[in-house]
Amino acid sequence: MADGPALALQGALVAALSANSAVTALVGARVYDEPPQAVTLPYLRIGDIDVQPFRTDGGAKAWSVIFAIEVHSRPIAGRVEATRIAEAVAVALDEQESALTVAGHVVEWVFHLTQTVGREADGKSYSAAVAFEASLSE
Amino acid sequence: MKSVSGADAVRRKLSILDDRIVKHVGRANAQSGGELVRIAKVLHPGDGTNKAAIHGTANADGSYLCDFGPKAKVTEGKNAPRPFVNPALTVTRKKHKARAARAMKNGVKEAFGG
Repeated sequence: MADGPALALQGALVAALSANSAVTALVGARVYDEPPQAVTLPYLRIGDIDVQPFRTDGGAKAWSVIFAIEVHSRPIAGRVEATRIAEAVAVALDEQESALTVAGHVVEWVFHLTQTVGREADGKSYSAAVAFEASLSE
Repeated sequence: MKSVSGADAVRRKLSILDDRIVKHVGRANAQSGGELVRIAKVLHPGDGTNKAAIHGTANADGSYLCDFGPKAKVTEGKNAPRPFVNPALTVTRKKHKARAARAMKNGVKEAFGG
């Protein structure tokens, strides 16, 4: 069975972010769904993916998707590193439909919604969430 | 005594105006509120339990109550981790205003048969 829109998009996001030179210059190949136990910072993690079907006429299927990419930066690097990575992620995906190859689906559009950067619970490192909205169809 | 022709029709239209406005704006509010909740959820830095506490309720008067959960104040505070409510509100404000204005216009149109 082919993956649904959420799983297919998740794979496409990992591939697109790993292939973007501006992003890899900052986080290397560390783009994860679930990071390993002793993960090296900084890294990206695929955050929540919220999928809602659109009501469409006929048999065509389409989905509205809101998703986030989480940024986790090093304790010594402050807010600057998290913000810099978040901005690189926004540029890598904002209106970059062609960069996202979602198996079995077509990305109609994707755009950057907002981002937020804040201190982690340890009081030293920073994390960010970069939110996007997209529309997928079959 | 003379009656004014046409006033009854206008009065009838005015009497259903409130109802139509509540219907259209309520629908728009529910859509906008749902959107706000979805964005807040993906921005929320907490775990699944905290995210699940974020939800919305449509009220009978057409308003939509967004509840950002018990951790909202902590995560929105100055000395705490990532804020998520304000960024979600900021990014959706313009769209939601436009949607509400459109709904209001549709409500008037429906009541007056335009």
